Amino acid sequence: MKPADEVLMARVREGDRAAFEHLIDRHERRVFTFFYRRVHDNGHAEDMTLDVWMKIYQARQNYRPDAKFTTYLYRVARNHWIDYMRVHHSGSRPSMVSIEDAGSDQDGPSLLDALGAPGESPERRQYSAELAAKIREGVDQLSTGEAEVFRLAIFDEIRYAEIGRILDIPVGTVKSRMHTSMHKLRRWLSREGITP
Amino acid sequence: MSTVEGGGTPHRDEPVETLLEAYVLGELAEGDRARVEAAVDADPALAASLAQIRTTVDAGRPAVPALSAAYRRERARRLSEVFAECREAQAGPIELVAAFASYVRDRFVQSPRFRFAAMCAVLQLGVIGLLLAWGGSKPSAPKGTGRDWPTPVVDARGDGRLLETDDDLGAAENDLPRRPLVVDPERGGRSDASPRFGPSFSRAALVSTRFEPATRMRTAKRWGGGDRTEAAVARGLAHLVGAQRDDGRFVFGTERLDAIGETALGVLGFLAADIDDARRPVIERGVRFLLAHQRPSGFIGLSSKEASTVAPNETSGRRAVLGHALAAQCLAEARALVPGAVGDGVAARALAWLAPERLDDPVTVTQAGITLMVASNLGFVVPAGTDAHCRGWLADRSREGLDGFERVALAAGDVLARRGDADAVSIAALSTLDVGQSDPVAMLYAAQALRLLGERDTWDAFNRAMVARLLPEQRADGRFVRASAPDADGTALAVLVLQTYYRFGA
Repeated sequence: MKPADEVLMARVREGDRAAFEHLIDRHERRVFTFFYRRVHDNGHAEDMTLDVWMKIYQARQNYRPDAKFTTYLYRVARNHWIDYMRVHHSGSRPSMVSIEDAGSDQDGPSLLDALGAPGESPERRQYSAELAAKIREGVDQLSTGEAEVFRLAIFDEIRYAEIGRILDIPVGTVKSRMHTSMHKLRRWLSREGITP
Repeated sequence: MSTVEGGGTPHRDEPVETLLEAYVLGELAEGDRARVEAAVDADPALAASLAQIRTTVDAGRPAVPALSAAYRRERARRLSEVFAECREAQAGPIELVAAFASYVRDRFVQSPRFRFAAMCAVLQLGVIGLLLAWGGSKPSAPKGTGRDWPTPVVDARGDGRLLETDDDLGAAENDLPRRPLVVDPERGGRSDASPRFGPSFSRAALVSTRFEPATRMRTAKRWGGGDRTEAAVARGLAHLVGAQRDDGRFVFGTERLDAIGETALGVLGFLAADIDDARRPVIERGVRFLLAHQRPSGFIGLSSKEASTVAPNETSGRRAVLGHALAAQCLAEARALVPGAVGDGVAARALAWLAPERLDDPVTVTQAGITLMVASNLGFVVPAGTDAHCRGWLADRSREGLDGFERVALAAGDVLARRGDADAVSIAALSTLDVGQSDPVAMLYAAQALRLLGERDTWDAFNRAMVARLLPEQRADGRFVRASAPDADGTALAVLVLQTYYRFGA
């Protein structure tokens, strides 16, 4: 049986490095996904992924095993993301990629590359890219609480129950925020002339 | 392990329009999914909305590239850096003093400027000493005042900064104990406002003591168990693997339980042991059997039994409620401790069914209290009214002149309900129990209560008698058989009793 994350983290607290590398192997992909779907830049997302793991190791004594490890992990990632936005987008809402930028990322794969499924027509890929960029733009128009729930549920594919734990809100609130944000987003897209 | 029942809690009163996102994201229970599908089939506008939401969700989840080779190299470099930093930080005092002395010698001692500064320092210390001697008659500050100093704020962010307010989106990530917890089965831990039957422990503690062999053995030894008891548990579980029927039920012939209660007992033993390829299917099948008998009301019982629970003082009613309470504990543990074993909602519904009006005798009240204790510590929202009912009920009757099995159950419940403030009469009822002759269910309740009470002498005496009785009852094939009841299979109960050392943490 694979050891639970919390068990591994308990070993990390006692200085077990192999346990820490095991935890990274297990979860680094989801941390990377978390950042990639926000910054759409391979290099930045990789750097932030490593930053998060370093923080977790340095603060390992502060981890309290009454929290599920993935919840803790997402909280650290979320705080790191917020810090990043403060530094890089101070005073502005966290809008990342405009439609014009969507296909011109120099450092990582373009948004079109990322979105394009094999066999999709160029028109379809262009439409998907535009829609994705518009969705991100639209999410930035939502209230902070709604946007956070939307990003965690849609970008990060996290279940409602865990979102509730990460944000420290009831699952019912997650559900209602998700419904409201989707409703507002569809209305906003419609005003922008885009019908998903 | 497959999910037995997926999805979230039912939303029967909500319009279908509000459920579309949850439907696309797989967050709905079976009944709600069917309701959405039927409505979408009948309403083209709803179908269009659903398609739009689906497209939006898909577009919001672009493919994520693989991590690069450069990332792998950088990861190795930064890990070795952070490990080296921590090694230095953890160096012992001798190494630190030696390193400091070496630094001072290399950096300063050879310098004339250092020698002059050292002379000044010696003179300055002399002056300070004189001043202190002059003021020596003045009252000094009381010793030990450091204890009253404010505790420094813990830097839970891990990046050296002070905590900020909760309104700040950068609030500390690991601040769970400082806030009221939103309870949830995967998170575990009680909130300040959660029910108080029994002591508090954490899900992580349970995971560690139940599933980590070294921790489990250490905990068993700490409380008077060890190699012999663990070997007996392993043999007992091996017997139970073969004793389970094809439909998942266990039948032990226990006098006080029906098939639901017995199946729950059987599965509970596996929820405090290593889960390997032979044992995992036992949990799956047992859980399936329990869920196959869950009614829409949340009740888990043989179909004809629910009606009898309206008169819980009848024998059949008591047995049904007891079986249900054990099943609810089993589902809560499986949901929280074994990923994928139980879907959302089913355990919560079973817990919610334990309403005060159904609990009106020592055994069912005590078991319901234990079920709520376990569930709330594992993070489930449990009915606060039921918790209060159980505590009040037990307190009111703790000195009633019961005897035998009911007396033990009542005393065990009372000890757990009052925790550190336990009634001496109840403790005495447990500690004077004739373990060698007692009913196995009574022994289980007594063991749980005394172990959690944690009074060492009382527990040690009980434990000695418990081990002395149980181990000789085990046969070579792993089965536990009482001489006084050779037709009943006491294996599940014996296993649970022998797991009491670590069942609820260290």
